[in-house]
Amino acid sequence: MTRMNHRDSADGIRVIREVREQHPSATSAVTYETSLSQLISIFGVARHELRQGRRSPEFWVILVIGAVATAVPCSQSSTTAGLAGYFAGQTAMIVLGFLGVIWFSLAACRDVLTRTDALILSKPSSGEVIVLGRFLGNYGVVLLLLLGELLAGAVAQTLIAKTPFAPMAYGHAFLRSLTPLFFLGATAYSLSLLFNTPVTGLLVLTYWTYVLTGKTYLRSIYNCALTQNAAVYILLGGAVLALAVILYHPKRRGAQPFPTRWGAAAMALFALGAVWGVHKVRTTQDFPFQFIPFIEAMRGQHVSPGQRAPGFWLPDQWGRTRRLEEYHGKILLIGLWSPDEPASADLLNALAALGQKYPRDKVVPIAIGISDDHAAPRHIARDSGYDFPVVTDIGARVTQPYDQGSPLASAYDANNLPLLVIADRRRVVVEILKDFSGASTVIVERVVDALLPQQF
Amino acid sequence: MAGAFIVIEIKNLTKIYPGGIVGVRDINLTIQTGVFGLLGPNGSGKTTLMRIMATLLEPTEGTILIDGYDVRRDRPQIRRLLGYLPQDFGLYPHLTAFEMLDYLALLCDIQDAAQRKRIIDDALERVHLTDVRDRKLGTFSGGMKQRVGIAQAILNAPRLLIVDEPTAGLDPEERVRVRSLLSELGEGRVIILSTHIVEDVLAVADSLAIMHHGRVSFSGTAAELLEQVAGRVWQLELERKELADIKEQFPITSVLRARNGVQVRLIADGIEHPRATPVEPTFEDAYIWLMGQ
Repeated sequence: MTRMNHRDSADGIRVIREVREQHPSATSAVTYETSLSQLISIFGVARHELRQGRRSPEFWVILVIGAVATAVPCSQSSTTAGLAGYFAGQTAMIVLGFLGVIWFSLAACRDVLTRTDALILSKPSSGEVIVLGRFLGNYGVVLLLLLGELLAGAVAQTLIAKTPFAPMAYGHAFLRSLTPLFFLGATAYSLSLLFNTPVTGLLVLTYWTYVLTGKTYLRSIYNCALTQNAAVYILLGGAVLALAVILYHPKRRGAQPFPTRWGAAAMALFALGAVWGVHKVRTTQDFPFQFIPFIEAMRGQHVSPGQRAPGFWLPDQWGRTRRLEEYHGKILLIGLWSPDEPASADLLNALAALGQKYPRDKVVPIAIGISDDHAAPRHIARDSGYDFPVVTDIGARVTQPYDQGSPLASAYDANNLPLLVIADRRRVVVEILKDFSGASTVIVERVVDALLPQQF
Repeated sequence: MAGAFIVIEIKNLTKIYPGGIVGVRDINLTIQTGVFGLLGPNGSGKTTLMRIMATLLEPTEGTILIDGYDVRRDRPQIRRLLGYLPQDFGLYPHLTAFEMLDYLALLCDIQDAAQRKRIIDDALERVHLTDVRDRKLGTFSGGMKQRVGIAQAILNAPRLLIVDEPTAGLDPEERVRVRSLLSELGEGRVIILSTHIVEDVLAVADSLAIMHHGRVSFSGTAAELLEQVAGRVWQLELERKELADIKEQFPITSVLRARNGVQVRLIADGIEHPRATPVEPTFEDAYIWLMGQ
């Protein structure tokens, strides 16, 4: 074996330095350029993360808990295909919101918990491969859990409740959950990674609890689970991850040059998220802080037998804006419902049946959906295949009583949902059926049957 | 790059942990190609020195130059030269040996899948784990995990391989296997082997340093270590009641049971005892004598 004395070693170092100075490209200069090869590493790490997550017993425990929790609301009969998918999606999202945060927090600190940190941190790979690869892999695990839970809901709906199964209802439920799970996961993961403890995930759990329980006082814009806020929270989640990539280096891997590309990405995403959020607050009804004049005008109306039914100007399930005036000259069956009220299934089923029974040029069923998530009524209507208009009250907050949170529930004096109002061809209110149930259909038919010969 | 010479220069290195605990103090060493043994009792600062070399700890004062790169400034470059087997490490229990190594190979920036497979297969073969490559790591014994640890450390053909107590807790057969492996890997690269087992260092190291209380108390070859106590090791048989007196006078390196009492090895420049005979020094004699200094 070649041995060197101290003089040799000093010469050796001098030679190495000279070679580096003459051939700078020969040195392994580390840059923060996210090249294609780095993407390969990121996805490679993500694949292994997904694999090991899926094999862990914790994965199956969470899956069973979530599947049972999701199957319960879907097992109830007398619902609609769209509503069953909505219930499954909401339950799966709530459960995974909590368990997913814990999962991400533990995944971020796994190397400390499993004592693999020295192996990982001594490797030459850049921080983004570890940070992003691990996040993507675990996001994949959470999405697998979501799929499993929705599948349990679908099975319960089909086999136990024996209600019609609409695959798109579950597709929509899956899509609605993507953003909140991404944002909650990215935040919990980044905090736990940077502070090197899963306990920081508690902050995110606290936020999620506020979102779920603080409907009466939390501004809509702070709710990451609302589809209308998706763009804001995708941008903010991305910004949080970019920030984690930046801070992970100095905190865990020693001082490094500032990664300008990631810095720029984080700032751009934060700025875009903030701007979009401010835009949403300024242009949408965000009860109780922001009031849009035309929505307040809807709230200012009042329903009363013998008076004209309160009008509206709202988007339907096909994206078209509907006005009540459009249906002048027809008997109107105006149903107010909420996806959060299971009894709404009775109203929607009744409107669908009445729409089939009576000619559409004489009797028009119209459903007004009241939900925090403005996409939910649209999805449910489309998933259930309703051919009558289902509009969404875009100024609504789901509060109890409903008339305090929704302009149209206020206008229609709907403390509780569902509610049905029958108006004649002059839009004059003939009947108001509060606490609508399946049995109320007989009353509706009697009123409509009485009106038809008088008015046509 | 394996095969090119590499030099490690440790300059005035001090690491003081929060609370004033001294990890290492004022260490100066030069390490060259071959196996370098770092010997010392638990708590002597070996792991601290290794973690600084592995870019996992920031020194308080001084620095280490590895192939001309400074551990304070050039961590990414050093990580490309480095393979590190920590003393205490875990593995992901739900991955197989191959998958775990594939994960770590990705972190070594080996992006080509075919190249990765070739490197991992080679590493598994070197540590004799090819047969169990598709078994989950959660089912591995301590010795097998240790060999996976060595495999991961050689994935990027490191020019500097740091192994911290690689034989701790292994049965004799596994210890021999790991030592043989390190001897094979020593060609053309620097291997720094930290251990508190004298036998391990002697079996594989070309040169060594002995650490005690965070300082280097000896640096050189094994022969030079023996020279420290040459002509000063004595052996004598005593009755048990005499042992306490002798212990007070001389450093004792071993006490064994004998027919009429105990057989004692001690170190002394000279001893006036009728039954004392000079004997050839062993490395244990030299090591224990150094520890007592």
